[in-house]
Amino acid sequence: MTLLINSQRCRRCGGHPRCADVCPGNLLVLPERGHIVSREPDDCWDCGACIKVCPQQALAVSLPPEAGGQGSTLRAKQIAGKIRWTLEHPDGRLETIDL
Amino acid sequence: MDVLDTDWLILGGGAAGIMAAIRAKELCPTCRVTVIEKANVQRSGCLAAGINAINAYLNPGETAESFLSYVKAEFANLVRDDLVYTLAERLNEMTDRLVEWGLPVFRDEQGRYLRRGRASVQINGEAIKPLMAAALHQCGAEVLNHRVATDLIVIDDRVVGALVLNLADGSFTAVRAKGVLIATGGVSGIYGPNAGGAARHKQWYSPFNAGTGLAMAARAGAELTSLEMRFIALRVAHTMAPTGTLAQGVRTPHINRLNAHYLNDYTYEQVAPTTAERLWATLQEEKKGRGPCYLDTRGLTSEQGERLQKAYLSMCPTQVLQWSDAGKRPEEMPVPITGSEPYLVGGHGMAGLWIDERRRTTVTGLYAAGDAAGGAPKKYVTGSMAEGAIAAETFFNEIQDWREPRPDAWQIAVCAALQRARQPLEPKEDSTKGNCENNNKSQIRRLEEQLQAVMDRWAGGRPAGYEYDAKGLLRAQQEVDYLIEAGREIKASEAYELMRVHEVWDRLLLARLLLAHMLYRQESRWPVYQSRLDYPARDDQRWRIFVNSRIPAQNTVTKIDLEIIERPPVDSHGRDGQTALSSFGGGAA
Repeated sequence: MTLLINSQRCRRCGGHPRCADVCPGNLLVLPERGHIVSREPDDCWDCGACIKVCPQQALAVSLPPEAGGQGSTLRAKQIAGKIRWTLEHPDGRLETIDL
Repeated sequence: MDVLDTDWLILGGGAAGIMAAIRAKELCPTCRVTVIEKANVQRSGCLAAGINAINAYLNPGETAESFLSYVKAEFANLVRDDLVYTLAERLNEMTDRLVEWGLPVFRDEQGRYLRRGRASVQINGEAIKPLMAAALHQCGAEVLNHRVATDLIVIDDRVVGALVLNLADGSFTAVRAKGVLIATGGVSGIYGPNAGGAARHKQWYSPFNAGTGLAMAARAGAELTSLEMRFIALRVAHTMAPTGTLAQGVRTPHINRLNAHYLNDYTYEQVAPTTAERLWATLQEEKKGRGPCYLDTRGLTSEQGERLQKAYLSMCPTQVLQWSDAGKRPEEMPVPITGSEPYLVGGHGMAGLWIDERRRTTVTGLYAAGDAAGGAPKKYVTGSMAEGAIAAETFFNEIQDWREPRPDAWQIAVCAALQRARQPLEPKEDSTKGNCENNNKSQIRRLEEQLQAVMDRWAGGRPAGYEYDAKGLLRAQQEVDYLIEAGREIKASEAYELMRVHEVWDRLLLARLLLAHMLYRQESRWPVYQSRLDYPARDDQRWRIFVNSRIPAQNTVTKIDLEIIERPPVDSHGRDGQTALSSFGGGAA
């Protein structure tokens, strides 16, 4: 699984989550209860569309071990129309990159 | 079932489809224009993550003619001159439109777009898709997201609409249209991905582009071209991130495992290697035990490294994770490169629907543009947009020819399409619903993986070094035929699964057509893309022709019975749309 879903942070967005709406693979679904889930985690393309629209930063992307992943993650936040990326390195160090 | 009436029906909300809608509304503000999009136009298709260059642009000094020469040289002197030329004429107009929509573009001291390569300018395109989507909504077209077309409606050899599945509730709508544009993109997933498991969709091209539009057009009797020219990209190993950002953007050299600059060790058709020849040279190094190969970023400044990170965050964010996971900065570690899985993609290669200069397919009422349209490689984003615009212009020139389909014929055609579309939904015996759902999912995936295993092994997949021979192809044909039969039993319990079943069916059909193309062309014309072990030389005398295929419409339900058609080269670019159209007169082989 390369899309990481933080179940504590997901607030369900009033039942109409933007992440599910923008996923190019129609992979994210909101169950009747609980947080957003991926119906086929291995089918994620890692495009990051969902993480950019999540208002809670509940979503992150990482590389799967099959592609050499060792635990780094990327989160995104929209600030005044621009994107602030937060890269968490395997040692826990945080790096922010503004686009 | 709902029936929706529209004038211009566009299947696919990517670069080509969006521009086709915008141009149509410019030409006829009162006309009804409808875009059917599988996901959401906001982030759908290949541009979901963004893009950091416009790769088809005429920089100062370049012309449509020089762009055509460059594309011909890259593709062994066999492209559709008329298509390449007519889209090249519109490349800068399309780039200007993107900038007008708010696309941030870098500029040089003179205020011109900042050149990255001969036909490339640098942009910050993270938001290219949302910007396109905003322009689409602004133009007044009707956008139906989360819907997939399953079949075209054809009456009296004319396309008059499409059957559309709503992924939200599983309902179907029959859309009646005066013209239909296939802008559904290219095809991934026919060959196995570079990595499996959780990385199975770690692909360069969108794994959600299943070739739906190509398959439905083929079922409607449209001709496809050059499928045998598969596109294989030189990409970053593991992340499948594009390499142009490194090779063109910061001019990093190619090195092998021994730190040697290997590109100059080979001879090429011209002085500098083409895109395909760079890939070929890299694969040669791997074969000779000097791989893996790299793009050497060491020696870049830390500022250049930072810019690289930003460039990749604007297009393929996971590349940044690769550096972070290795504990290195971009300028500290050479980037490993390798070949991608093969794709059928008209924006980069030659495979796609056979169209005339005005972007009409061989079936009346059906048009094609972008990655779904063949014959004009290297069109990329702006070329796809140009094709969408040209298709819209042609449609409005022909709209007066349209006649409303007879109600009885419409009813019969829609019912047939609906029956085929819903067939996997038949209840499965002896299963509880919960088990059934899981079982369906694994069966769908297994069938797809079986196809990929067959193609990888026998039809020049990555594990076979992309090469193949007739014996292997015949074996693959037999196995794919078996999978097509087996696939008829696959079931779906809800709309998403139903879409997935159709995707696998479409991939199987296209694989079968692809194999026929590969078998037919008895030469090796395009390095790596089309390379035969049993016919290793290029043969311009016999094979400087287009290999096309077509399924006679009456055979689509029970048996795939296809016809191969040879088309002569199109070496001119008339301005009135007649040049290419006349080439439709080619005979069946």
